[in-house]
Amino acid sequence: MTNKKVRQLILERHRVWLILIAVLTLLLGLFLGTNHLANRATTNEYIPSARSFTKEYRDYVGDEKISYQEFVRRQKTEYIGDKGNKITFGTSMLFIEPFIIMALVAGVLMMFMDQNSQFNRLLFSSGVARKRILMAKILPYVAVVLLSYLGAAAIIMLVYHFGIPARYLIIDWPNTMLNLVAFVGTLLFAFGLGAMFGTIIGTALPLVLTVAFLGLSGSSFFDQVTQFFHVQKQVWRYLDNAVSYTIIVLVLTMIFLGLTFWFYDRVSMENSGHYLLLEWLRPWVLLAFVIYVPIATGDWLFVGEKAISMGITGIIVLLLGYWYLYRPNLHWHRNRRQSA
Amino acid sequence: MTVTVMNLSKRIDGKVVLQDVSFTWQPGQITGLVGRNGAGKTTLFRTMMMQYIPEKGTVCLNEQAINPQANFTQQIFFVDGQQNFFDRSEVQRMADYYALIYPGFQMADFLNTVRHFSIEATARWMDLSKGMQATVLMALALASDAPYIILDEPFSGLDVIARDQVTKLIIQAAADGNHAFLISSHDLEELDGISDRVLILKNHHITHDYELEKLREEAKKIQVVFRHNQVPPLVKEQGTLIRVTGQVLEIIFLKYTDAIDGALHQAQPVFMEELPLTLTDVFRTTAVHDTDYLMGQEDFTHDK
Repeated sequence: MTNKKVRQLILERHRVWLILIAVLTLLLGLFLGTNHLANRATTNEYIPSARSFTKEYRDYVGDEKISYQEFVRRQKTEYIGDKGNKITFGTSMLFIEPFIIMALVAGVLMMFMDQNSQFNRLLFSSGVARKRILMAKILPYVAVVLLSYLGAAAIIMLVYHFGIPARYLIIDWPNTMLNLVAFVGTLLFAFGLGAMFGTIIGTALPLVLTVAFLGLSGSSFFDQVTQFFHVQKQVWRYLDNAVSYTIIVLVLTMIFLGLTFWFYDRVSMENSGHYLLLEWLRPWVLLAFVIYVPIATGDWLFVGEKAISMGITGIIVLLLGYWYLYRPNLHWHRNRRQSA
Repeated sequence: MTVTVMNLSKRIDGKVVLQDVSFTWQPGQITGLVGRNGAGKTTLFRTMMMQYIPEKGTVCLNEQAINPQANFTQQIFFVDGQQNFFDRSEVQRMADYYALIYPGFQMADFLNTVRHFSIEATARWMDLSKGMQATVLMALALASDAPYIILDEPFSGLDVIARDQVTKLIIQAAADGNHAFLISSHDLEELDGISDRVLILKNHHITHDYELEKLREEAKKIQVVFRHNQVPPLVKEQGTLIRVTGQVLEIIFLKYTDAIDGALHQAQPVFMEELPLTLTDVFRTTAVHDTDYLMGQEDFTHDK
């Protein structure tokens, strides 16, 4: 099969999803931009009066000495970016979580859809090496994720441009561009992570729960680990800097995508419908959860008693995980009866 | 041009399904794959097509290994009738996918065939009857222009007319000598009519590989009533008892030799007659243990 035909085959199958991802991302951009404008308008209605400002000066500006006019100007001004090469995600609608979630979902969909719908049977039997198949999937997905994000970012900027008076819109372009590159790296990281999980997990609800749990608990795990090794400050120094941050997320992206290629080469369809599509991963996944969950949850069971809480959590995860991963799979038995 | 399956082994959920399965397959042959339920026929097909990754062994197409890392022009056609993603797809869309995979796919031929059998190209796979689905699969297989075609239980659940239609398509396609069919079926009578060769899959591997023409020359099915139920030892040794009706025994000899013939005549049976040998008889002789006990332990023991 020529590369063109492989691409056609993939696009034939994924076209609708790619369009959906692009449209949703662009709509998300429009929503975030206009919603932020609406919020600004509401917030501006509640700027304290000059009298109130004078009376409760320190509550509003602390020790800084500024006039009421300056205070109002600052309240009404939209700052995008910060001076320097710092990561300023979260301070602007351009770089917020919904876009990262979209990229993550795109990665998951790219892999999981074909497994769940049995399209992989056709792909695996097509005579095309799996690496080529995966490459033919990744390219359009990455293109759609990145281009639609850039489109959404452009929409947000246009909304700001037309919705905020020029004197109240301050954009630190070098910092914004640096952050844009770093954020694109983050999107690739999320996409790679999603693709990896979509490759190895074969059931929809557990896949969503796993990814959601890891997403929600990831920062807690990261904090606990860096605190334990007393490297939090050093690590954050690298993560605060846009350049080193970008390098780190791109390296992680390469690792996740590399693992996706490696796993995809080994997926065998008899495990379709199992939690793990690669049976030999079971002990490793169990081990990973037994380590990860207690660390991420810390002293949630007995506040202040971390060791006991983590120990009990670890035992519960071990027992539940063992049962879940090693229990007889009814779905599989049904398939076997039909097909052996 | 040959497909060579060499020592193919596959375990599912820790249980051996295929163990060192080996055979070759060439164009011009219609090969039946016979095995009891759960013998591993579908697993063999799925493993040959790399849907399942084998633990061991190779599948080669003209000496080129087929594996997940290899690129090759697909020359084997197989659609999993049980598990495919076409459920909601229209027949035309299915053909569109296969046209991308098989470079020689003849769309016009495909559409002509489905139209000939009054199947709408816009019909959804899930809305088709079993007979129609089997016909669509055959039409796809033939239009693919793939020299090797695997059909998994193509006659299962079909009525007589639909069976005849599918059989006719297979025979017509095989007649040119460019296509090789590998057909699994429980319908041994259907395979009997069309197969040149039969592979018996039992105990996880190919236990027998019969060229039917040769088998019919060598094997015999004898219906016999022995005087005082005295069965000659050679008959016990070489024959497989497949049916007992009163004192009438039906025995299959896979290699009917002069020595057996002599032993039978020497026993001066009350009645002896040769019956036509069917593929079902061969299957029962080689793949099923259920009747084995009759020969060695029950009916014959009282003779001693």
